[in-house]
Amino acid sequence: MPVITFSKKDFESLVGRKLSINDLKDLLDYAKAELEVQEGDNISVKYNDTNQPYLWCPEGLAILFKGLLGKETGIPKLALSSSGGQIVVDRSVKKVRPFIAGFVAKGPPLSDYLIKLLIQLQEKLADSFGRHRDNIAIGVYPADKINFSVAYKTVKPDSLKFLPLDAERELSLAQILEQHPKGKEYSWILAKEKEYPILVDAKNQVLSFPPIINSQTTGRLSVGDKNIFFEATGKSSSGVDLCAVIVAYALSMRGYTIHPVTVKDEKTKTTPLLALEQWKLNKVLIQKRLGLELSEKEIGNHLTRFRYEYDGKNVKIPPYRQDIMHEYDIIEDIGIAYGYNNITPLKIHTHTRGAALPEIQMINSLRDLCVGLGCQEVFSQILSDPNLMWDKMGLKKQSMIEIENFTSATYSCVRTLILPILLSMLSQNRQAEAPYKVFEEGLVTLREGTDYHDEHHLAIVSSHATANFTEIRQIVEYLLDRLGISYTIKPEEHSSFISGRCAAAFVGNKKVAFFGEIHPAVLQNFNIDLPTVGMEMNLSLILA
Amino acid sequence: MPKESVQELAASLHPLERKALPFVVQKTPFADIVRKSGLKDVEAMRALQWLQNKGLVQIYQDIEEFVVLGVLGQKYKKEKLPERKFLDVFEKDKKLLLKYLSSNAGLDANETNTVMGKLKQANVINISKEQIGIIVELTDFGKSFLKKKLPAESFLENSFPLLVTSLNREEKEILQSLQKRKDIVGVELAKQVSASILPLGRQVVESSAMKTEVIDALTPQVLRTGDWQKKNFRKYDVTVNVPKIFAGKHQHYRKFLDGIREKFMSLGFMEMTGPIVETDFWDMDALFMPQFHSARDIHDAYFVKEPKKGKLDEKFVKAVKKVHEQGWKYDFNAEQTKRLLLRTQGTACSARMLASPDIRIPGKYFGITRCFRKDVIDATHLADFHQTEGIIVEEGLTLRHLFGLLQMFAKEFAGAEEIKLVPGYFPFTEPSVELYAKHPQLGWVELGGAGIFRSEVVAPLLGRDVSVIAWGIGIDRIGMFRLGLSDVRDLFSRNLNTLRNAKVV
Repeated sequence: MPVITFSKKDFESLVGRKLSINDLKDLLDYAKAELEVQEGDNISVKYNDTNQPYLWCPEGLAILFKGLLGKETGIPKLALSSSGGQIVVDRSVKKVRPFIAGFVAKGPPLSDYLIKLLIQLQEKLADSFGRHRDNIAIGVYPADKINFSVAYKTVKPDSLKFLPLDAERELSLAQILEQHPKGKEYSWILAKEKEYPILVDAKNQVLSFPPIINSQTTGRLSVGDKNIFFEATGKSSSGVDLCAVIVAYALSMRGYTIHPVTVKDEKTKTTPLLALEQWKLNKVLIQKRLGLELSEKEIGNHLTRFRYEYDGKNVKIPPYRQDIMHEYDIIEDIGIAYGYNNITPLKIHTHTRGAALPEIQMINSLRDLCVGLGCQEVFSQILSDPNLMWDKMGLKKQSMIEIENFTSATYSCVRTLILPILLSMLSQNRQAEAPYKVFEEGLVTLREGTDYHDEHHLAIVSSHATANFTEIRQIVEYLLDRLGISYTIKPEEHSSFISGRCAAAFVGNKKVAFFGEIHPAVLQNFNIDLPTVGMEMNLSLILA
Repeated sequence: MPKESVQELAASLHPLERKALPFVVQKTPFADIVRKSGLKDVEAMRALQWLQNKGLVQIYQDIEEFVVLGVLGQKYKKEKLPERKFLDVFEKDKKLLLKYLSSNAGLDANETNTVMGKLKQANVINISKEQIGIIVELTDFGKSFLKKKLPAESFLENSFPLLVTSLNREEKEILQSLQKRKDIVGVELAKQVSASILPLGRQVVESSAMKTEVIDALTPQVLRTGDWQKKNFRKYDVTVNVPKIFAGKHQHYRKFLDGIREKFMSLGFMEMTGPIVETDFWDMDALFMPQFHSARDIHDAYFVKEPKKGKLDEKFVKAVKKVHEQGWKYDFNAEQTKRLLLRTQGTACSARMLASPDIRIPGKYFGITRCFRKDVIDATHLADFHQTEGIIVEEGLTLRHLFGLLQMFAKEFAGAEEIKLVPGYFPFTEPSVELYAKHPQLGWVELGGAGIFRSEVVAPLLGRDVSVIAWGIGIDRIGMFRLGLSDVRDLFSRNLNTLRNAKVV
C-alpha cells in the first residue's frame, strides 16, 4: 500500500480551496485512500487501491478533488507544445528491457519542495506500480544538459564507465552492480542479462543506467532548473506509457508545458500518449449494478465530476486511467460520485436454507463430550515446526507440507498431528495447577508423494501423577461408544509411546485412533515431569 | 460480648477448635495441648491459629531452654538406669561383694565407679573394705528404693524436650547432677510455641454451647441414626475463601466462532470450505488478480516446498486465462497458475463454490477458514489467521442489496448500529466497499470488505454472469473486541491459566 506525504497548504492551492481535516478525510474516501498522519502542515495519505497510480501525488489527487467539488469537470487539459526531441530505441533492448517513454517539460524554476515531490512520485510509481523497478523504472534529468537525440540501447557490462549519482569516481556497469548501494539493491533485476540497458545523448554522454541509477553529470535535478527531461523504461509497454502520462499531468498542474518526445522504435510513437479511450455505456447496466435509477443528466454530472467526459452514449476515459477493463469499472465511479452515503440499503428477502458443513455436527458433539470429560479445549495455530512433529515425538520424519519461504522455523510446515502441539503446550505450563487435561479438534494436512489432503483430527492429553493406559483407553472407548460405533482395540507399536502400552482402535480395517502412555524419552523432550497419556483420533476417517 | 454472640461463636467452632480450646490456659506449651487434646501436631496448630484469628487465644513463640536427652539418656529411658541395675542385684542379699555385684549388674568398670559414687553420695549404700574384698551394703534409706523410683528415674520419665523453666528446684538439682554424667542430658535453646486463653476464649469455654455435642459433617451415619434431630449442626463461616476449581471448558475463541457459525446458519447461509494447500489459480487467478500485478504483493503467500504444482481442471484454466488476457493485456502463464501455496484468502473458497456443480441459485454461502500470509507475528499480526467470507448468488442483486447486507452484518456480528460504507478496492469486485462500524470506545473500526464480483470472476467459473455479492469479515478482530483482548495472539493462547480463566462469551 503506497503512502505519500505532502504539504496541506500547497495542496489547498492546487485544489483552489481551503480544506478542513474532515473535508480531506471525506474526499480521500472517493480516492480509496485514507489520511494516515497529520503533523503540522505535512499530511500522509495511504492508498488502498493499487490500480490508480495517478492519485499517488498531490497533483493527481487535486485533479480528482476539483472534479468532485465541481471546480473543474471533464477530462483535464494538458498544456502541450512543440516536440521536445527524440529517443532512438536500439533493437538490443528488446530482450532486456524493451519499452521506453519520455517527454520534456518546461516551466517555472524548480523549488526544493517540487523536486522532493517529483522524486516521491518517481519512487512510488517504480516501487509499488513498477514492482520494485523490475517492471517500470523512472529517470528525471535537467533537460538543458542533454543533447537530443537520446539513444536507448544495451552495452556489455564492462564496456563503459560513467560517474553515477552519489559516487566518487567513474564505475563500469558491472562495478555499479557490485559496489554502488543502488546497484546492490536492484542487481537482481539484471541477474540473468548479458548486456545492460543504457541511455546516452547525442554527444555520447551517459544519462543513466536503467533501472539502476542516473549519471551524476547529467541526471541530477537542482533547485532553479526550468527544463526537465522525463523517461520511463520497463517491461510493460502500457506501464511506461501510463507513467509518462501521470507525471506529465502532475507537472502540467504545476504550470509546465509538455513537449512530447518521439520514440523511434519498431513502431514510432509520441509520448505522453494522450489518445482517449472510449466506452459505450449501457444505462440498463447502471441500474442492474447500482440499483439506482439515474437520468442521463445525472449520469453525465457524476461522470464529469469524476473527470470523465460523456455525450449521453459514450464515455471518454482520461488518459491517466488505465484501470478501466469493463463497463462496471465506470459504473462503480458513478456510484462513488453519487455518494455511498446517499444510497439507501435494501434487504435481501429471498429465503434460503442455512446449514453447516456435514462434519460439524459430529465434531461439535465430540468437543462437548471432551469438555464433559473435564478437558480444557485448546485452539492452536495450524502452522508448525517439523522438529516438533517428528523429532520431539521420537518419530522418523515423513513427507509433509513444508513452506519454502518461511520466516521462522516455528511456522515452517502444516501440522500433521495435533498431539505434539498439546504436549508442547504442557511443557510451557508448569506454573498451572495439575492435573493437565487438554484437547483440541482441528485440521491437519497429510501428504504422500504429490497427493495431499486435509483431515479433521481430535487429540487429548492427560498429564498427572497417576495417568495411565486405562485412563486413556477409557476416554477413547467412551467417545467411540457415544458415537455408536463398533470398534476393536489392537496392540500398536508407535515410538512416541511406551512399547506394550499403546493401542489402536479399528473400525473395520480403518485405524481411527491411536493412544497410550507417552514414552518417557518423549516426555523428556518436552520437559514434562508427570506421567502423561494421549490419543489422536482421525474424525475424517470415521466420517468417510 | 453478649451471651448470644458467645453462644453463636461457640456453635461455629470447628471440631479441632473444640478439642483444643479447653486445654489452653496460661502459656500452655504446644506439646501439652497436643497431648491433652489427642490431636495431631498439624491439627492442633491449625486449631490454635483459627482460634487466634477469632480472638479466643493468643499464640506465643518464645526462644527457651529445653532439656534434651543424650544418646545414653535415651537408652536409659528405654531400658534402665545403671543405678537400677545395681539395685536390682540387692533383691535377695542386702550385703554383697563388689566384684559379684558389678558382674551380676552387667556394668563395666566405668559405670560401676559412677554408680557407686552417686549412690554413696545419696546415702543409698555403705562401702566397707574387708578381707575378702570390698563389701557393699544397702542403707536403710537405700532399702526404700528397692520399691520406689530414684529421683533420676522419675526425671527421665518426663517427655523431652522439657522446658527448663517448668522444673522445680529439686528437678533442677537432678538435672545438674545428670548433666555431670556423660551423654545423658543436655540443655539447648529452641523455639517454644505456647498459647494463652483470652477473656473471650474463657467465655466460650464456659458457655453452654461448648458442653452440648454438635454435628460436624452430615454423614450417612447421622442420617440413618437420626442423630441430627437431637443435636445442632456446627455453623460454618460461609464467608471464608474456598480453593478455586477448574472444570472442562470450551476454548473461548473457538466458542465465539461456534456462535458465528450458528448465526450464519440462522440467516440462511450454507457453509463452504476448501483445502489449506491451494493453487495460485483458485487463490488469486480465478479472482482476476493478474499474475504480474502489484495487488499480489499484499498477499505475501507461503509457497509449498514439495509438491510445487497442483492439479487443475483445464476447462476453468482456459476460461480464466482468456479473461486475464483480455482485461489485463498480458500472456497468462498456465504453469504458474498451478503453483501451490497456503490459502491466503477465504475468497478462494468462494471461487471454488462458484465453480462447483452443487451451487444453488439463488444461494447464500459462508466460510470460516484459516488463511496464511507471510508476516512478522506481533500483537496485531498473525501468519495463521481466520477469515469469514461468503457470497450471495442471485439474479438482480445490486449495490443497494450489498449495503443492506452489510448493515445487517454489522448489527448481527458486531452489535453496531452505526456504520460507514467507503469505496474500496479489491481486484475481484466492482464496485468494492469497505465496512466500518462505530465502536463505543474505539470510534470507527474496519469490519471487512465487500463488493459485487466482477463478471471476469463469475462468468468463467459459473458459465454465465449472475450478480454475486461477496464479502469478507476480519473475524479475528471482532473476536478480540468481543472477548476484550488487545493481543491477537491471545485468541490462540497456549497458557493454560489464561484458557482456564478466560471469559465465556
